[in-house]
Amino acid sequence: MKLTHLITREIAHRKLTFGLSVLAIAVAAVALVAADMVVRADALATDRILSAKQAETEEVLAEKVRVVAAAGADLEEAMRKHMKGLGFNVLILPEQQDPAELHLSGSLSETMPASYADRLGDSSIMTINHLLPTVLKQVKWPEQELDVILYGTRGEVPLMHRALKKPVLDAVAPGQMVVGWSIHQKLGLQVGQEVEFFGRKFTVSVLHPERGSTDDVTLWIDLNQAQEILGLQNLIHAILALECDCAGDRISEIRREIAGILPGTQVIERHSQALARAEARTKAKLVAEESLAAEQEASAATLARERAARAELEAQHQQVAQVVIPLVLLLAVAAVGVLAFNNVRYRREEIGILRALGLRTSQVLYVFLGKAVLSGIIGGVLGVVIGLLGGWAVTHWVGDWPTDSPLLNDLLASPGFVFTLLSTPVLAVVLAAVASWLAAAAAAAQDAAVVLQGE
Amino acid sequence: MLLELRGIHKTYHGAAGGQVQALRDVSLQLDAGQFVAIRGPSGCGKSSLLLTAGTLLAPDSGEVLIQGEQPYQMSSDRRATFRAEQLGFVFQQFHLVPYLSVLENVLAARIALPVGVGSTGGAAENDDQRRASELLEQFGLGDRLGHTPSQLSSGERQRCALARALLNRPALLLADEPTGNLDPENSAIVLRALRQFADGGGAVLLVTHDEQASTAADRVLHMNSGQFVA
Repeated sequence: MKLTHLITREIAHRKLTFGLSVLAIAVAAVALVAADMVVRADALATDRILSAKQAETEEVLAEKVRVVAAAGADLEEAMRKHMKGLGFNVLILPEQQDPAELHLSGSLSETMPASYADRLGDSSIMTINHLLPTVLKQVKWPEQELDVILYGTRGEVPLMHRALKKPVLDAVAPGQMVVGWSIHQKLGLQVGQEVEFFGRKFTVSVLHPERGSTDDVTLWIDLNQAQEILGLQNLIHAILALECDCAGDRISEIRREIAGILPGTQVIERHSQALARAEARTKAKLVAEESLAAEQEASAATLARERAARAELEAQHQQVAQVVIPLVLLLAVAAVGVLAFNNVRYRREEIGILRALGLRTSQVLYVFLGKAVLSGIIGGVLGVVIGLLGGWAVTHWVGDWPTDSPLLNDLLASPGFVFTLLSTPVLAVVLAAVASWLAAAAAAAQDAAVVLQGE
Repeated sequence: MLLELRGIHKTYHGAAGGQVQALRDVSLQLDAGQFVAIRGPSGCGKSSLLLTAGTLLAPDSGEVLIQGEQPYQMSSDRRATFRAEQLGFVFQQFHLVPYLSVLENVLAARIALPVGVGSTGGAAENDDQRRASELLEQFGLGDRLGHTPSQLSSGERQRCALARALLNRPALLLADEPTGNLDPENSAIVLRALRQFADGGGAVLLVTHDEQASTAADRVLHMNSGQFVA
């Protein structure tokens, strides 16, 4: 016969006492597991809620950014087209050219060297972006007996110190012709049709829609061919330039800069609507950016509020846990201690005779502490199981935890929580042993002679 | 000499400052095979003498020798083991463990002993069970092995306690009023068992009021006020 047999038989004999001890330990274990579960579930729920909010916000913002970017791109494209349609907002003319001629007839008569465009392109000019050397002259189309404005252009002269930009006006290839609205309407021209112009063959490449300006009576051809037709080899009438970065009135600055590079020229402003549209574009972009910034700020504030609310909730739960857990542990210790002392009192006679039979102090301690350890193991395991089941129920049906993905699975994947589950039975055993220690010590210290004499 | 008490003194100190001299210069010698009965009125010190001889009540002065060893010079744990090996107890109130069966109560005497002591090697537990069953059979409890003490009569309980006291083959059996709660028939059974134990080479120290009980003893000593009297 062994001491463990004595322990198990005594437990079987006094089931209620043992059951109450197990219950007290189990309650303490449940409190530990449940409190840890609630606190960890809070943190997990917070992460999940904030992540969802963050993702939602980012999605909204991304959509907003996409919309703003698309709107900006649309606007930019529209502006580019508008500008192209409107012409150029800066025109460099020979100094002796009367601008009134251009306004009255749409044509120019004074010339300047074609190399001026290259000189400007090679310079470090900052105020203009696109340069187009042109000849521009009102002529009679001899083959059609029709007055037209001949516009010779060779495409953009690259600004050597800048990165290449998308050209606002495409060059007209040699042998090609772009025809204004009135002209192709009068002559019934079609794209791809061959026409003769000053004895040269041209293919109609583009037919412009109606613009309501001198463009409607203009023919665009390659600059060199136009120079040959007009007898203006190596000469041009004007350099057309577009000032793209022109927020505000900078014409005087442009004039000053060009005068330094091309003396003997003058600069006149053309189609200032381009400036207004550029400003509108800038303003639209600003408004969109401000709107986006406000949206981001509002989202950040919402997230911050949510985070603060969750932090407050977590703090409340932690405070409750900090009060409840020690209280429950204390009550459990007290309950187990009282039950153990009662057990010792009931077993005075038994202890006396066991001592008379030769049981050592350590063996008497073993009998009582062994029982406590057993109640700790059973109570601890029971508490963990009940705590888990309770936690499972709570995370499924109660509280503000998200229910789409059970938190218990996430909790069980957390090493910290697994540690709590594993350490709780150990702690329960320690708790039961500590609570029973005084009673066991009292039993071991009991004087057999006193008991046996008392009987 | 199996048991020798030399000049034992024992005084109890009451909570109110009062003192009771339980034993006054008591000396006693007991050899193997002897059955000694001590008689005297209540409170004369008989039980104190028995507990002192049983290594459960340390004397204030004097010497206790059992098998030539002084148990009160031993550590508490060593003394407990010594007690388990050398002594057997029978009390008036039986002191059976209520939640153990009759057989288990007898076997409880083995708990304190290291495995193998007083028995044979690895089959110790089976040997213990066999011996316990034989003892219970001898005392007429062969058919009550699985019963609990509450299901036994007083006589049966005392016979169970007697079997427990004998399980470890003690050298000295200490009996405190073992027939006090028994009918004449059961008293006779118990006294006969004590006699047989002494005849078998053991020593018995019996403390009793019962004149009939003392007739089974080889020698009867009278005690009064903590002293042996003529």
